[in-house]
Amino acid sequence: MTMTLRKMFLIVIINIVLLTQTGCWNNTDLTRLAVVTAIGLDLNGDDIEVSVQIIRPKGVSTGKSQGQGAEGEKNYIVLTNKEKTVVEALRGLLNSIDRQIFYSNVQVIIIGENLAKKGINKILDVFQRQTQTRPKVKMLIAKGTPIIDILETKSQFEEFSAVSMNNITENDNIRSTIVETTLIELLQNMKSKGKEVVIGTIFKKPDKGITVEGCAVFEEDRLVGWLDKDLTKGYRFAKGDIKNAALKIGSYYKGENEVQLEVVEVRSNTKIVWENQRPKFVINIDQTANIAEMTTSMDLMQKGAVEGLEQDYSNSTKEKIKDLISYMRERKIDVLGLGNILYKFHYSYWKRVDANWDRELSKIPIEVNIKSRIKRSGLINQ
Amino acid sequence: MFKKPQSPSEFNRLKKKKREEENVPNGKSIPTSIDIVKLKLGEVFSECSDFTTRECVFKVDEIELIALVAFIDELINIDILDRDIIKPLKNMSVSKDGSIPKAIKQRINTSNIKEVYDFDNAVDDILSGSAVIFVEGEKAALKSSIKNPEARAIKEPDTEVNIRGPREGFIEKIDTNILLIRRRVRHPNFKVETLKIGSKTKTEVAVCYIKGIASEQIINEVRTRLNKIKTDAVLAAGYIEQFIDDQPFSLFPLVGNSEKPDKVVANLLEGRVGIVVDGTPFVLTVPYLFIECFQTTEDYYEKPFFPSFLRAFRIFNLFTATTLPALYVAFSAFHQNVIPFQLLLTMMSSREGIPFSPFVEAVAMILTFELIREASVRMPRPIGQTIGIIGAVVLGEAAVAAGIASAPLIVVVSITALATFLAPPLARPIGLIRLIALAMANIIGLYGIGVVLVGISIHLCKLRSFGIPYLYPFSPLDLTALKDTALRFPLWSLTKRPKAIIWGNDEVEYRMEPDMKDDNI
Repeated sequence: MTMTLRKMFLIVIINIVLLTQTGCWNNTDLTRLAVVTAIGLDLNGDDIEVSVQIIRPKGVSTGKSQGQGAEGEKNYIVLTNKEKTVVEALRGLLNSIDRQIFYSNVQVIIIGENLAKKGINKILDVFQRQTQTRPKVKMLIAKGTPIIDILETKSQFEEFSAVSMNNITENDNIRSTIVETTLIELLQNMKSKGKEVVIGTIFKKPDKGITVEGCAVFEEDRLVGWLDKDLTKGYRFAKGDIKNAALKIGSYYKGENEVQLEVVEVRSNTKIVWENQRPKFVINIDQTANIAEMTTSMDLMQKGAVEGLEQDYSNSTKEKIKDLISYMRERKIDVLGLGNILYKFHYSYWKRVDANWDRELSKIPIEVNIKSRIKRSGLINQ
Repeated sequence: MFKKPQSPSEFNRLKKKKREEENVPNGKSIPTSIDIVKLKLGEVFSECSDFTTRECVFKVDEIELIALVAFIDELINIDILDRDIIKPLKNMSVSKDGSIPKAIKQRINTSNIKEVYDFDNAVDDILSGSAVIFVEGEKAALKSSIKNPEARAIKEPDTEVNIRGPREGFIEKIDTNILLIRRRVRHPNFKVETLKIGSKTKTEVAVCYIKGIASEQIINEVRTRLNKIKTDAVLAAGYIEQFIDDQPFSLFPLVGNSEKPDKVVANLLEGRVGIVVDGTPFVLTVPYLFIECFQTTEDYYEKPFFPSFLRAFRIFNLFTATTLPALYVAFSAFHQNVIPFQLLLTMMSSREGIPFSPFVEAVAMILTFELIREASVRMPRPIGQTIGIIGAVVLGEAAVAAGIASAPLIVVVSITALATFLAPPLARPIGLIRLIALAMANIIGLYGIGVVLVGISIHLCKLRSFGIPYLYPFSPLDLTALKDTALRFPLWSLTKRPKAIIWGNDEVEYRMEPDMKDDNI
């Protein structure tokens, strides 16, 4: 009896000690949280300017209680603060809000153009160390628009523009005119040698509101160039990173007619072939598409018609990639991350060219081979 | 470890011995003089206005002899007494040779007439609804049980409603209850042993089982535990339940009860022992397993697919009922980062302006629910419904509109309340565990809920009901018995009885003889 009593006593004591030691006492009510949906980072003079979009739960309409919040009341606020470091600036926000800032639901992190041009390594350090923001947060670069303007914009469908930015970025798997880069991908890419860093861009069109389109190219950690939506598409084709996209091609026998394809599968593979001790990059692409729209009543049952379209398909893809390559050569930016292939498979050669890779890049020939297939012609007339 | 069941001859010998013991008067024999009998009865039943005696005169070889019939007025059926006992007695004339009681026995019309030799036994018999006939000059009295059949009619039980099964339910009369069971088991191996418990109430308690299926070990355990009960009153089966419980301090039920004869019979056929208590429309069954909380008779009365889904659903809802409010508190106070964004928005906007923490709010709503439930149970039925309406309006609408409780929490509490009643035997323990889990969740979040669940699992593993592990067939694992747990396999595949319950009776392992099964195919 005494034994069991002593045991019981011990168990109770151990549990009490455990409870005090676990240190997970952070009981915080939801009403004490300020949920951040978007973080913007830019330079203001020499200081780092942080802007955050914070939810105002009172204005949020849910289910039946829609319209309960006063009419016209905004359901979010945008706060900014500038300090020498990111953490300082974020903490400084607490001066003006009475709640604990909660970063777990950050949907997008937007980096300003000025900051991006100076280098983003410095500010990304914070996001590597802290664990609140999720690693899959979308990264975006604000192109020519102040971040505050982007954060203040009202979304058409979503309650918070941050959510809609996130969703538009995710749309990219059916349009392929942007590159979706998450925080973790960005951190990984920046760490690996010779790998390109590409981040989608966001800007505000005067008539259209927020637009997420095209992408920004980085070298090391500095912004060096922009890709527009066509170049971005070329980039995606070259990387074989297309799940679904629309592609317009000219029909093979009548120039003025147009055929719209729905690209459904692209596989690409970049290899290095050695010719006379010199490397040559070979990009092999295997692509499949369905016919989505035709402005002509072309007879697909005709012999060679589909093959002709496939040829056109290859040509337009090749054109897009060629555009990208010439952009690369012109600006001396390794957008396709070709250096990384050399670094991985031919390290000795890479060591030789590493220092002046920019110049070397324009000398190395790049060959593009494309195999196309049109799977569903959608024979609606027959 | 187990004693072999007694052989029939030995059993009969013991029975005979017992009967002799009963008949030997232990100093309180019945006086031969009717006047002394009258005096003694008058002493025992002084100030009992319902106690009645009636003298009859009958002839023994032309000599008049007095017989005294003693009974309690409303306890017996007066018509039968007049017609079948008093009338034959008065018209009787017997010869002197031969036993007079025997002669009376032969002439009286009631069939269940017996001799009594002990005066105290005679008093007990009078109290339990017999007419006792004392005869001048005889040491033996005669008793005939002619109980008044007045009782509630057999109705559909309120607690266990079913759609396709039998609608009969037990009533307060023990004879009727045993009859209801006997009607379903027409086999001589269905045994009923009666005894009286309670020094004042002398409540009749019957232990019934099917000999050969029920383990001797368990039957003996039931007998010993019942005989050990020292109390003056047994007013309902619940009294017995608490006296024979293995673990009186456990929250969980360790003795089963049912209002439905078909359920009790099914339990008896699996080797359980039934305890019928006079005055209660519930029959207790032991041993009781945890899984029985989720089994209903309805499960067996239709094709196995939907009942299987329901079984699994009930077990799942055990967790809902225990932890849902606790999870709500844990997530909204500690683990906001795992709530999906849109849900978080909904929760936040609903919590905005609520003056209480989620914990206080949850406890308040749960207590309000208990309040309404208890009030509507205690209130007279017609008012009870009004309470329900008030409860729904107050809980559902007004609390939210007034900004006292948040809407998601109301949903959580309502779902919890409904989930509780999917396993009615567990409703009470769950109600308490829920509050403990809630408190722990408020202190240390999910970790606290984990601690509570692990603690309860350990406790459940430790429990025994009449020596049978409470969690059987999960632990100890019995694969064949698992067929009737979370899923209910087709009846024809449930060939074996649960091994733990019929422990020691391996020869009755099969419910269906193998060739019987072949015939079906």
